[in-house]
Amino acid sequence: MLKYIIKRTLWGILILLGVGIITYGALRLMPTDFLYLRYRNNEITYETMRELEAQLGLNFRVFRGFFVWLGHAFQGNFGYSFTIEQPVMQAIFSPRMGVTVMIVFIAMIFQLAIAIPLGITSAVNQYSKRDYTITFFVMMLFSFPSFFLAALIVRVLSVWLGWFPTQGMYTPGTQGFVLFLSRIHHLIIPIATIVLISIGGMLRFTRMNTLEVLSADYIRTARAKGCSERTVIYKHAFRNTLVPFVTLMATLLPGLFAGSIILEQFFAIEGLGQMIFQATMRGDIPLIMGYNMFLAVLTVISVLLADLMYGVVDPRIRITK
Amino acid sequence: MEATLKQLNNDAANEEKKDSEQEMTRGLSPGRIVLRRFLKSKLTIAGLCVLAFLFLFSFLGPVIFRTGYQNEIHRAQVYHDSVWIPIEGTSIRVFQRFDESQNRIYRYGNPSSDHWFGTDTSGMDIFTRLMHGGRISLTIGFAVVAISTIIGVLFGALAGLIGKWVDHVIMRVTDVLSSVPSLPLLLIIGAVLNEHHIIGNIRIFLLMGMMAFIGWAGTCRLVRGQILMLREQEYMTAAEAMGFSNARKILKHLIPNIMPQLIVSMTLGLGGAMLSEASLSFLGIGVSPPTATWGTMVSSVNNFYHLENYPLFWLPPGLMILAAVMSFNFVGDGLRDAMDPRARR
Repeated sequence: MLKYIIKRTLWGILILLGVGIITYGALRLMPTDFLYLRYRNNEITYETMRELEAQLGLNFRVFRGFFVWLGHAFQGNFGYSFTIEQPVMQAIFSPRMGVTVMIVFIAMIFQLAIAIPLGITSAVNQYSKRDYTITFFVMMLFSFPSFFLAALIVRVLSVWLGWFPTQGMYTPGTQGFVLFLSRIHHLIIPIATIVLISIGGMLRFTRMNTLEVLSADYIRTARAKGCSERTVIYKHAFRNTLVPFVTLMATLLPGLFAGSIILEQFFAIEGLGQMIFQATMRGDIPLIMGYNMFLAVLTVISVLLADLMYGVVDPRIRITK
Repeated sequence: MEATLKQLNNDAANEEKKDSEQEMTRGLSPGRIVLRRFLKSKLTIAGLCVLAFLFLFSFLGPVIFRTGYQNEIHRAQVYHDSVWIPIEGTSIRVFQRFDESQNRIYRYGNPSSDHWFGTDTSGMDIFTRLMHGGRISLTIGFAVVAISTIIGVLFGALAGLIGKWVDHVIMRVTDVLSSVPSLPLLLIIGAVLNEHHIIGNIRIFLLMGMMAFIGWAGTCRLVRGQILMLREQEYMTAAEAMGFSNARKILKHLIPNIMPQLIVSMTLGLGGAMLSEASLSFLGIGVSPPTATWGTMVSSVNNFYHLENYPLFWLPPGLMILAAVMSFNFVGDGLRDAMDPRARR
């Protein structure tokens, strides 16, 4: 087991190296970066620009520059973000991250609370009218471009009915409890949009799992020994449908971070997504590298965790190698 | 107890249904059975119809219906002595006389018989752009899926058939590609294209290439997995025993058996590709503005004034994307159900 974890971790590091190479290579295709733009606007002198470039390895060609960056990264030094004017790690692990994580987390709870019961009813009444209706709406929801759904919701609920504010995170000038309320008021639409957009995948997943569980032998046994249908579904089937969720949750997490870019942009939420979008548009190389590596680490860890958790929650699965 | 009985009855009914399906499909070729099942689902049929409509609308529409160019700017010759200027939802009529009426561009036009959905910020007819935009959006979807499938099948087949170190290398590459955060990477590439001022068709080709490059890992894994599974099947052993050549084994025995999964994943991938094109355009790093795609047209929601006052700018193209992606998903689902022999209705 330990050997397996070590082996996977080593592979993980190799994967991260690959991600780093691809990201850095793509970044260095830019003809200009943030430093050059500053220099061009006479905000910094040529010498300062060269000096800062030398620190980041940007004065070298792509190949050598990457190794300079890598050397710094191994020492835990991801450089200094110019757009945020903070060290990269500090810029990522900041209140912005709190905002993004909070939104993603609340959305996730709502998703689970809605998707699991609906998915189970849908599976239990397979091919019924209810199942078809749910399936249809699920399909529709995950066919929406996220910003289009957001636009529709804002157009109807905010502009037309005037129930919610359209953008931003709170009403300026409020304090204390009122500020808290205004935050909730502002975040309802963004969270609702995230829930609606991503509920489809989870609902289908639940439905599929439940169908699989319902066709298992122990369900037949439970019915045969005379359990009520309620007991069969809520005691025998329900618990087992939750098993694959462990893996799903682990793999969903990195995707949620990346997906927040579009909606944070649309709703002007000051989270990580908005930060990375602005950094990319302005060529802030250290911050982009740091953020992408952060996402990649998250992905690698969550895939590993998912595989390990699978063995824990389902003892039939054994890790052999 | 009653519920259990009901369930048992249901099971019995299902058994009967199964038998009757077997009865009905007796003597038909596998292809016919799949087609039959495929056409039985109403949602799939609806999806096919919508897709057919969208394709005709986009590809034939501009030819037979409106022959305007997508970037044609409409001059207001008729409207030269009064214009409606919308201010905060209500319209105010401003009377003006223009001697040089030829130079007047008909911006923010209301729907009329000339311009069914009105005109946009630069005075281009929205309906015409909707048709032309569909061409590019649909083409991008198909091209991305086609390219990524070709790459994926090639490498997946190599990995599955040769095995050993080739398999190892290819699998690690797909690991890397699926760990790369795809939207941030596309953001970087979009920014690179912006910085180099690459516009027009070249930009579209480069975007398609990049999206395919990021997307082939899934197909590759699918094909490899299938081949590894099929290799162990008895009919492959039989083919081996009969001394068939490798080419014959691959072309006659492996590829036809991979096809079902491949077609399903391609159909579902089409929707995904169209969605990512739309997202990129929304963020201003996709297809560059004067070229119409459904994505760039919807991205006018970025401008709050348009979002509030001009639903015709973004609602029709958004609904088009929705309809297209949804139909691809329905058809893909229908295909999966039809081709999976375990999924009996």
